[in-house]
Amino acid sequence: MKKTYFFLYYRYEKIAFLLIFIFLSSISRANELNIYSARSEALIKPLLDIFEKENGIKVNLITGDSDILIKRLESESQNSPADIFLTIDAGALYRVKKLNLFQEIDFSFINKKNKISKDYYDKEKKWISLSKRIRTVVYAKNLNPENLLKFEDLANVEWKGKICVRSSNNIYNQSLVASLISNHGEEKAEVIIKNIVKNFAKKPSGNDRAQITSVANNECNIAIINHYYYAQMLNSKEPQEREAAKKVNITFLNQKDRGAHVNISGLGIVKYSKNKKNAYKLISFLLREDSQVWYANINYEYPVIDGLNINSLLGSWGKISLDEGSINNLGNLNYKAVRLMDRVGWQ
Amino acid sequence: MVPFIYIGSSFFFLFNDNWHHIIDNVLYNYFINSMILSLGVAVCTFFIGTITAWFTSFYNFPFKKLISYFLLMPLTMPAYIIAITYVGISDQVYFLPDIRNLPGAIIMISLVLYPYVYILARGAFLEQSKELYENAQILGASPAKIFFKISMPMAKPAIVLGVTLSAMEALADYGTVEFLGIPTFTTGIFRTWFGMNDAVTATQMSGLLLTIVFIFVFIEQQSRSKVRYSESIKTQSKFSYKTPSNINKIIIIFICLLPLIFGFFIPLFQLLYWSIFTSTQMWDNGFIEIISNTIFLSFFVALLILLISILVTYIKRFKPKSLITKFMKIITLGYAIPGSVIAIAVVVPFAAFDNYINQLLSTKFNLSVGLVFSGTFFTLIFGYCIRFLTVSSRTISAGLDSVSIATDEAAKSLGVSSENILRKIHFPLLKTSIFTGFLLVFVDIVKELPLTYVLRPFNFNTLSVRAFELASHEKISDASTAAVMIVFLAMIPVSLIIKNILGKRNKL
Amino acid sequence: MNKKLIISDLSLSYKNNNDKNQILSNIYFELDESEIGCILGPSGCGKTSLLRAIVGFENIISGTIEVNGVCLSSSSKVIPTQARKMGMVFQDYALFPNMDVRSNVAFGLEHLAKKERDEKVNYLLDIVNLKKYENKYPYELSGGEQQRVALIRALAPSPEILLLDEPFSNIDTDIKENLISNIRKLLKEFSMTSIVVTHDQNEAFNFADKISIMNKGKIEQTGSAYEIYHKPLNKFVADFVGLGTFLQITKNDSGIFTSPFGVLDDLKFDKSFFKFKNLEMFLRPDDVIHNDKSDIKAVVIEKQFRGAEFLYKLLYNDQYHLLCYAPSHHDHKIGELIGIELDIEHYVIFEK
Repeated sequence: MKKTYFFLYYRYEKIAFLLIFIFLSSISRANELNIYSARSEALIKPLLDIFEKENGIKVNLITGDSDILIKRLESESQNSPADIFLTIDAGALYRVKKLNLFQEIDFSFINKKNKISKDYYDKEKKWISLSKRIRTVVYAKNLNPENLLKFEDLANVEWKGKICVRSSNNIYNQSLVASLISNHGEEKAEVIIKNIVKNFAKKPSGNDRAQITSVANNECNIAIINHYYYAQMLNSKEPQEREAAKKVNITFLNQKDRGAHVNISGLGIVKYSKNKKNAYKLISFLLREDSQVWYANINYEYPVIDGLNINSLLGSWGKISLDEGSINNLGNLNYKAVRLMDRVGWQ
Repeated sequence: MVPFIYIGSSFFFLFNDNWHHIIDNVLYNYFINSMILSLGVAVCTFFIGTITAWFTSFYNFPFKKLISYFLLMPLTMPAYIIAITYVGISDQVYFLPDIRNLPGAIIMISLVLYPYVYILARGAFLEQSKELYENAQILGASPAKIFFKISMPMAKPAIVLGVTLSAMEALADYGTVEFLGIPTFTTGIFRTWFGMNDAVTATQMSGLLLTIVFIFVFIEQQSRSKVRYSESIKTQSKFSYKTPSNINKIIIIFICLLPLIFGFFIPLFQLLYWSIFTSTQMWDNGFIEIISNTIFLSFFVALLILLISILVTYIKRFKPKSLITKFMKIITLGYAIPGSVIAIAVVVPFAAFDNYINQLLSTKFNLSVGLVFSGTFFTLIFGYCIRFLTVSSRTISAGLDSVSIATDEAAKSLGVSSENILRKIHFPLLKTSIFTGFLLVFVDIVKELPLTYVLRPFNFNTLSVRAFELASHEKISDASTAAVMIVFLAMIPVSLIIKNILGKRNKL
Repeated sequence: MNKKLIISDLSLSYKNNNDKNQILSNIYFELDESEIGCILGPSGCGKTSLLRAIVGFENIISGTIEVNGVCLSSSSKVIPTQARKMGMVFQDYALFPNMDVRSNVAFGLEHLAKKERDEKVNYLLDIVNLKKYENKYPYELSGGEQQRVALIRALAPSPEILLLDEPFSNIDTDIKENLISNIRKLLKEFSMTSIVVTHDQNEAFNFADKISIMNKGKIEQTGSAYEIYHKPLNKFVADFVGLGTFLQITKNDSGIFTSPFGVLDDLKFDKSFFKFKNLEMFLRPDDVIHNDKSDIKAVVIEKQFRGAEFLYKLLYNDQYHLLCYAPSHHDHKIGELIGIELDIEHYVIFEK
């Protein structure tokens, strides 16, 4: 019996031990780089590992939901250990900028060779993009895509009961609607979205892959998805996913006007960064050709540097015209987009 | 207390325009869905948990020991994982009904939460005196009457506790309802916060949720304190199982197997199937580190929470009117708050405190120490305490309630100090409850997601974080390897719970 | 008159691992209508198992249990407990802790209409003076009150037979005697056929019409209190019921039996014993009378004060123990020699 309660007798010592452990863990070391990333570990860590080896800089990483990380940045303010904030949504970058938690990026520190076009960085140079993600549609192979050229076409009565999409809680949908507001103004966008919602085949649920599967299973004919999920399913290790993906076609919308909706993953240097030099090294590294191609190969995202030799699947889709003009507006319109979707009943 | 003050204090901010928007468009929906969800989960877990507990407590049937053992296993499944597996299955098996709706969410969550009710109800059933049942039989009562008039009312405190825990956890659930596309209070909080970028309104919504939970808990505690059974129950006689007819045996086995198959085996096999495609690449050094992180974190935090809850439970017993007792009532509500909200309610005040320390030190000593609490294990553990103190302290206090106060008084009259009463009298009696509390928290931490995700320090990853990240990237077959590991890891403490609680009593 | 209860050739065993553990063997037991029977025996003798077999909790392996000529249990047939119409008062009363007194009593009366049921409960509560406690919960009652509730709860459905398992073991001695006679009176008023199980012979003597002594799963003797006490059939019964000591009896070559106190009178014991060589005689304390004038002297080695009398433990001839009651004014010291004489109407003799 004595043995069982051993720890109870020594509880104070144990607690003290834990506290010391906690304290030690918080002491920071030199020549390092601290990253708050909303991009998940699997999709950034391998690159960071290479960077670590090349430069001898210790990279510390926390991943999390972007808005929670922002809240953390905000409340830690000048004592925050973070040097880099990395995320997968232009809206989140906008919010950090609004909170005045980014510093201006001096482009002269970045390798000149890797130029990115001006829509892919902030006007005030507070953040830059790393990769592109296109939101578009897939459709059942028996469907004629002639009447499916623009996103606005989805509002036609023709598609009643035929559209699948995930819930409006998701940032992809929110920024999609934000881009629509950016292009048409709130009133017109509301009418379009209202009609699209009327065309939903079922209540929004599941993730993007689930939407593709729904089309494959004939639960609906059109699914709104991010392009890389379709690409990943086509190359999935799991036979069922490949089967499902093979039953649908992808098409990129608005090719004749503003271009398909695009969102970006990107980063900024935190205002109170204590390792600025390292931060610039990382940015240069991430914009390097091999790193850029890595996004395409690992996750089928498009690189932000043009003219790279990307993987064959993305290559086979050809050059896609993108709605680059909206990127800088996605952040400040996100709030309006959510309220709009609430009003029209997009769950 | 700090996080609750933080949430509470949000009410002092002005209610902004977003409230009008929310009330006009979505609040009703959030409220109704959340209520139906938590009540539905309460009802489902009640039925599944009590019926299985009843059969395994009182009837003899083949494989009974094995079945009663495995009935706890769904506890190892994170709810959002089980939802993902079922959606995956229903995509391939056409005759299965679609679960992407409210009833589906209720079933998914109930399938993994019913073991709380099962374990508590079974414990209560087995502690009931055999003579009462015999007496009722002699008085001509049918098995149904015995169940409803005697077993159930006597096991009521335990069952109500289990059901309340389940309902609270359902209320706090984010991952499952989000995946299944059901707008609830919890998804609404995040939508308001992330989508509308309005943290104040989001916190105020959490406060509202907290108030609702408070009302629930208040009702539960009222129902509990009415009658005290402990002093009149004497358990002397050993229990004799009933042996039903063969047809009934088959029916009982069938009923007991249902939640087991649907809550454990089907999802596990689906996960294993998925993980076949990826498991070889997942097993690198990083993965082993993640596993050991998960084990160490769960073990030590569960231990710490256990110690705190023992302490708190005893303060409640010996000094029922103290301030800490009242605080505890509030802190135990933590179970019903979405983990991310707790996380923020921990991060913000501690970061502010850290900033204050730094300011103080830099003006006085020109010294900068950086963040002392936030971003370290301290805040993580603190968050866990708030979230899981309920589980262990309730388990322990339920055990303690059955030790009559007369025992304490007898010991005190013999001049035994309070500390010795604990050590010599209560601990041997409470061993099972304490151990169970520890293991339940252990399992919970292994599975826990939002707190760990938000509060973990740099470069610290756990299995549930990895599974979640991969799943949210829709890489389900990659995620399933981590999910399978969560299940296997959680099976260890769950098996120990079984050995500890069920095993002893099975050896009659 | 028809027998109310007939148990014949009943055997019962538990399977304990591989050993067959015989709990009851070849039990015969009968009760007349409204008779109160008692199973008296040391703990572990199987008496509670017998009760449990009667209510139907134990499956018997041979024999039958019949009530009113209807077979309730046999090796092939078991009527479920619920249908047996038995009443039982448990040692710990087993009151339902979640119900108040009234609900406890009404528990077995669900088949009655509400009005009828209320009347019956009221009537029973009045009989045992518990009307004022009807809304209290068991834990608020004293042991005696709980017992009364348990008793009327068992009586409420008018059972065929009332079984009482050690009903007085938790009752204070000072009120026990009074309680026993009150309950006996109550059972007689109800004409209740009852079986009480106890290890306490005083309870048995005061409560029962008929006593069966049980030992190691067998009934050793059944009879009235007087018969059991004065005419024990074997050494176990003699020793278990009341006090007494055994004396060696020897037969000499000419066939005359002698005890340490002299030659025995052949007429005072059964001829069937004549064939044996070695016998034992059982002496009750009341068979040994203290008489200061007697020539037979024994040494006092222990004494107990019992109010009206002393119980002396004596040693005769340095080897024979005797017990003796003497009026309490005869106060002798330990070690003193006192005179005794034997006053025996009928020898209680056993084969050695």
